[in-house]
This record gives sequence, structure tokens and C-alpha cells, in this order.
Amino acid sequence: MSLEIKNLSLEYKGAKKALNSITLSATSGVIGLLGPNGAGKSSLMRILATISKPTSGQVTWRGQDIITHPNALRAELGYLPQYFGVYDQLSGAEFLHYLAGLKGLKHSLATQKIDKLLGDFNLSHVADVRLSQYSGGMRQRIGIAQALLNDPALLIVDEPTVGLDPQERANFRQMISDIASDRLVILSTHIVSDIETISDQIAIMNAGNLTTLATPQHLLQSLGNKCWKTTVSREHLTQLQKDVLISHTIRQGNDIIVHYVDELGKFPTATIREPTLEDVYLYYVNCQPNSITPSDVTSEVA
Amino acid sequence: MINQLKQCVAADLRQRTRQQSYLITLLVMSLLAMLFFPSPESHYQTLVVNGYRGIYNSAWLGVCLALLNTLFLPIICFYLVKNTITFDRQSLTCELIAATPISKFNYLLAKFLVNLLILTSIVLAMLVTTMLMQLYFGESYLIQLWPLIWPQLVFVFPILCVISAIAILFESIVWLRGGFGNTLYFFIWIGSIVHSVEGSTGVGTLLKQLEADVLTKFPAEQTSSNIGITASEESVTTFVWEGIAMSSNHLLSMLPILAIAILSFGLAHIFFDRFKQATSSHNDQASTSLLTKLIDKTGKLGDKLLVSISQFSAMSRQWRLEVLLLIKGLSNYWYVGLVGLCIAQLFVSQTILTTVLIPASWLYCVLVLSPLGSQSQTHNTKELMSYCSFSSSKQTMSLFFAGCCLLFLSTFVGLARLVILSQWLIVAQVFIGIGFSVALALFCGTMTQTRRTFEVIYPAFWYIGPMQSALYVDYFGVNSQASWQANMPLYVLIVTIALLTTSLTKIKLTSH
Repeated sequence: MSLEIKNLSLEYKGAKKALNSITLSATSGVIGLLGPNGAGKSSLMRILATISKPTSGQVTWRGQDIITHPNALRAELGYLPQYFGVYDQLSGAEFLHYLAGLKGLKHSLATQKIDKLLGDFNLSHVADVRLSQYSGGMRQRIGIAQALLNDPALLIVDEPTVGLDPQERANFRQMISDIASDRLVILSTHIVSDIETISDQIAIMNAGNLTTLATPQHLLQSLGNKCWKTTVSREHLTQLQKDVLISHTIRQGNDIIVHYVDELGKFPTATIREPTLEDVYLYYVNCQPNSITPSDVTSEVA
Repeated sequence: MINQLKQCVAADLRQRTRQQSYLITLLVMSLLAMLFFPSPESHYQTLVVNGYRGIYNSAWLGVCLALLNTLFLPIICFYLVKNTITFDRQSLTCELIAATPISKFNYLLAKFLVNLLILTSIVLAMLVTTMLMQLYFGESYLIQLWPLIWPQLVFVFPILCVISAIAILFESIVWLRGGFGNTLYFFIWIGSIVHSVEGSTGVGTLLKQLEADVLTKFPAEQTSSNIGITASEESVTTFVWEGIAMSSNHLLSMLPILAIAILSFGLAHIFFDRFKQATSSHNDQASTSLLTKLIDKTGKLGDKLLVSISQFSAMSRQWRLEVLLLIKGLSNYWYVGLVGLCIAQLFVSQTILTTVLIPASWLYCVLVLSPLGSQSQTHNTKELMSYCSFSSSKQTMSLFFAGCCLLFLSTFVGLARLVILSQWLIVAQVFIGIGFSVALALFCGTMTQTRRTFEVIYPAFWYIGPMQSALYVDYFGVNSQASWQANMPLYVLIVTIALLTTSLTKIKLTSH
């Protein structure tokens, strides 16, 4: 089981590149994909999910080119897009049966899987209720459930925790952790806390480029002496925002404790602090736009 | 593969038949079947051969239903089923479907089968209504199933196959998906009517046999058949028609129809993009050709003019914004066509101007006007609009005047000519026609919350009215004198006000 992406580019007519020569390889585990809006995460995921085609480059799954032979992957693929629709006149169970049918599952096996997934996602009590009556969170859970119907070897999930409450998000993270040992999961999100505990590798994208790909520990180490904190008055905060990359602020009376990322610290009162993945994200998106070379990018989590 | 197809058909069928609109469609089509068979005292007839019609027994009703279905179902049913792939695309269910291993063939076949099942259920509902009508009129109480059913099986079912396949084809080709496809299909249907009745395939053979039977019973020098709605002040003579037996000729005559269905499906399979364009097309930037630059510059100048003349009130400012909203995103070629029509209005004779060019210019704008009244539903902006302090009535009137402005723009050259020639009555009719067209667009959009209704109804009105000069449907009045003598402009004006008032009331009610 291996996914190889080589020099993948996507260019829209007359527009800037949505993806710029992305190269990486992965076997199993969870790759957390971080990046600001418009970074190219969804474009990359749509190509990996065999929905759209790149302008150039190659994607292979188990050695087979999925751009020219998408069916080589589709039977083993689970995909949850960021925005998706449902047949709202169908019940949750009927909709899952429909997608199980499209994925080629036999009816008896599909019934077993659907019962289990509805239970896992706390949807058994609304299995026969029409989707038009589901809340946003329930629809999102149906979306996640459909992605898992065929026990996918490659699971691609784009912003999966949107609309989920904190408990559901924790359950989702646990579920991804449980299933990731023998499959590859690519999880895109804006919410750093969603991936910091479950990702084996974190990839950061910006403006169509893959800025970095490394383990969370490695990324945190790389910012070891660049994360600072200082206390300023409210009046000075505006000026500080112009000078440094602020990741976090805490109000304390009339003062504000500012956590920021900077190569040198800049302020005499500043003290070094432990980096977080929020710092990593801000640093690689804002300070290191093209810091990676294709040969660096290999994700092989045993 | 069978399970895949089965699940796909089952889900799509459930999705479409569980909607309220499906039940309403069945009811409306049953009502239409009732209208197909007027009572003996009625002032219209639907199938008369040489002034005779058969008594309402199963044989006559079966053939009559098949003939009328063959004529009218293609136009009604096409618009009912031409939304299934579009629904997957718009609801973004396509994102999930595209990532599964389902093949293009299986997906399209499932969609085709569901179209066919839905249309078959409609015909079944009409058939049941027909049986009830036979019992109601009581001209024959003997219900014979086979004479009722076989004409539907042999003549109507293949037509349903064609409609289902063409609907899939139109949804698979990018430029046929929208309003242009709807309008084009309308004219294809108009063209096919004569062929289907007078041709040697399909119901044409049935009608010829029917005419021959009548001629044998009631010899006459000439044969004339009236199908559709025929006004008749005198009651027609009835006779007992025993029907005709199904033959292999009937079956063979439908083979070309089935071939068209297969061909359409095959083409759909070639053109269907498996949702690859679902989200990427919006990223395609417009080219920066000379034409684009010219239109941009003209547009900016035009907008400056609009800004300067619309600053005196909130409603006029809103009117300008509604005009911009209507024309935003139109193709450059649309503007080129509009300029072409305006130039043509300068050079053609006055007769051509009033009978062809002015109505054609309005028809040209049908796809731009069709979103009126349904924009907030389409773009999901209802909630944003609802809390604005600007009243819904004012906004609707701004919308109405924006539509009028567009139609005025499409005919202003011709209008200027008519003013110079002091053709004041026709000038008044142009303004009334503009008002009616826009009010109809607004009414259709408001009532049905889809642009398709206007796209279907307006070309039909346009064809029967201004094009065929049917006096009581001609909202423009191409035969100006006859139109004024019949007070048609005044009636159209009253209808315009009624349509506008109804739309305003509906919008007010839904916004509270």
C-alpha cells in the first residue's frame, strides 16, 4: 500500500497555479494537511479522490497511475469532501445503502457495516429518519460514515469536523486513530487541535506549494528557539501586531500576555516558551513560503 | 453491477417520488387526462376525424390517449425529468458519487431508468383516470384493458424512452444544460409534432388506420383529422369504433423512435463528464480579448449613465443594482447578438420589424429574464434579504423595472423608428408587451421558484401569439388594428397588472 505523488500541478485557465509541483509519498498512518484558505488542499484532495485531473504530474496507488486508471483506487477509497450533498428524501440508512451499492458492496455485508457505523456515530436512533430532518452535525456524521463503508485503504477527509460538537470531534479523532494503523488517512483541516494528537505526519500547504512535511515532534523542534512570550499594555498591542507574528494572547487586567513567533525575540522583556502546532502553522505559512524541496518529502510511517 | 444499478435506481427513485411535487405532478397529469376527453356538451374536442368521434369506449379512449400523449407528453415530461443529474451537481451529492467506482454507463443507465419509471407512473395515472372517465361518461360501461393498454405500450412507451434519454443527453452536454437547452427543446418539439402525426412511423400509422376506418363507415371526399384542442360550437357525431388490433407493423413503426432513444443515450455517455466540471469551471477566468475590453468599457460607460440617472431615490438606486444583477455574467456573444438585433431593427421593413424582429428580440432575452422572482431561492439569499430594511414591494418593483429596462434596450431602435413614423398605437403595444413579458417572468419565478417555468411558457406564448398571430394569445398584437378592435392591449394590460399584483402579494407573504 503506497501513494506516490510526483510533480503534481494544477493550473486553471488564465489563473495562478492551484497546485505547484507537489511531490510526496506515503504508506500508512495519518497525514494531517494544514493550510490557509486557497492553499490548494481541496484541489489536491479532489485529484487524489479521482474526481478531477491535474494539469501535469503523476499519482500512483499501489504502483498504478490513478490519473489514467482511476478505478484502480476507487474500490479502496473513502472520501469525505468539504462540501457534499445528500438525497434528503432518503433516510440515513437508505442513503448509506445507496453509497454502499455504488461502492460495490453486497447487500448483506452493507447492512452489517451500516448497522455498525450508525452505532459508532450515534445515529442508530435516526437511521430511518429522512436526512432532510437531520441537523448539520448529523449530516456530517453520515458523511464520515459513508467514507468508511468499504473499509477504505485510503481515507481522504476534507474538513471532517465541521459542525461537530467537542464530544463528537473527540470521538472522531479516536476513531481515526483506531483505524489508521493499517491504512493511509489524509486529513485536511483548519483546526490544528484536530490533528496534533493523531497525525503521524503534518503537511503544510501554502499558495499551491507543499511548504513542509514532517512529524509533529520534528516540526515542534524546528521552532525550538523561535517562540516567545511577553507582556504588553493594550496600547502597545497594535504596534506589536505589525512587528511580529502573534499566535495567542491572554488578557490579564490591563495588560496582555502575547505569545509570538520570531527568529530573535525582538523585545528585552520577552522570554522563550515551548512551541505549539499553532506556532508551527503560522510560522510555515507566513515565514517559510517555499521551504521544502521535493526530495525532502517522504512520509513513511511504519 | 446489478446491485450497484439496483441501489442507484432505488435511491434516485425514492428521492424523486417522495417529494410533494411528484404527487402534484400525478394529480395535474390526471387532470390533463380528464381534459383530454371533453363531455359531449363541451365546446371543444380533442380528436375528431371528418367531424366524427368514437363513443367513449375502451378502444377509442385507448387510441385517443395514445395520440394525445404522443403529442403532449414530450413537452410536459421532458421538463419534469430534465433535472436529475443537475440535482446531483447542484446538491453536491456528485462529490460523493464521483469518488465511487460506479461507471458512467451504470450511473446514466440508472438515471435513465428512473426517468422512465417516473414517466411510466404518470402514464399509468392517466390511464386509470381514463378508465374512470369512461365510466363517468357512460357511453360504454365495458372496460377492456387490452385496447386501453396496448396503444400506450406500443406508441407511448417508446416516446417515454426517447424523452428519458434526451433529458439525460441535454443534462450531459454543458451548453444544453441550462435555459438554452430548454428553449431549443421546445422548438424541436414543435418541429416534431407535424412529423409524428403525418409521418409513416409511430402514431402516424395509427391515425391513418383510424381515418381509413372512419372513411369506410362514413365515405367522404376529403379526410381531415383534428388532434389537440379544437373549438367546436356544434356537437360532433359519434359512432361506435371497435378499435384495431395490434400488429407487427405498429411495432416496427416504433423502431426508429427507439433508435433515437439509444442514440441519445449513447451520445450522453460520450459527453457526460462524470462531474469533472462540478467545481473547476468557476475558476476559468474570462479571456481578455478585444471584444471583452470593448464590452467592459461600454459597460462602465453605461453604468456611469445608470448611476447618474438613478441617484434620486432608494428605489431607483435599487433598480440600477437589479439591472446589473440581471446582466452580470452574460456571455460576450450575447451582447454581440443584442447589438446585431438592434442594428437589424434599423434596416428591415416596418412589417418585419413588428411581426418578427421585436418579438424575436424579446425571445432573445428569455434566459436573462427567467431568473426574475427565483433569484433569492437559487442563490440562497432569502435570509440575507429578509432582514434588510428595504421593503419587498419596492425591491420587486425595482426588479420589474429592471426587466422592462432590458427589454426596452433590446427594442429601442425599432421603438425609435415607430415613434418617428408616429405609429403611436404600436408604440403603446410595445410597452404593454414589454410589461406583460416581464410580469409573466416575475410571476412564473415567484410562484414556482424555478426559472424553467418561464423558459417553457414564454416561448409557447411567443410561438402561438406573435408568431402564429393567434389574436387572443398575442400579447404584442402583431395585427395591430384587429388587436385594438378586440381590445387585446387593454386585456393584456389588465393581465400584466394582475400578474404583478399576485407576484407582489406572494413575495410579501413569504418575506414575513
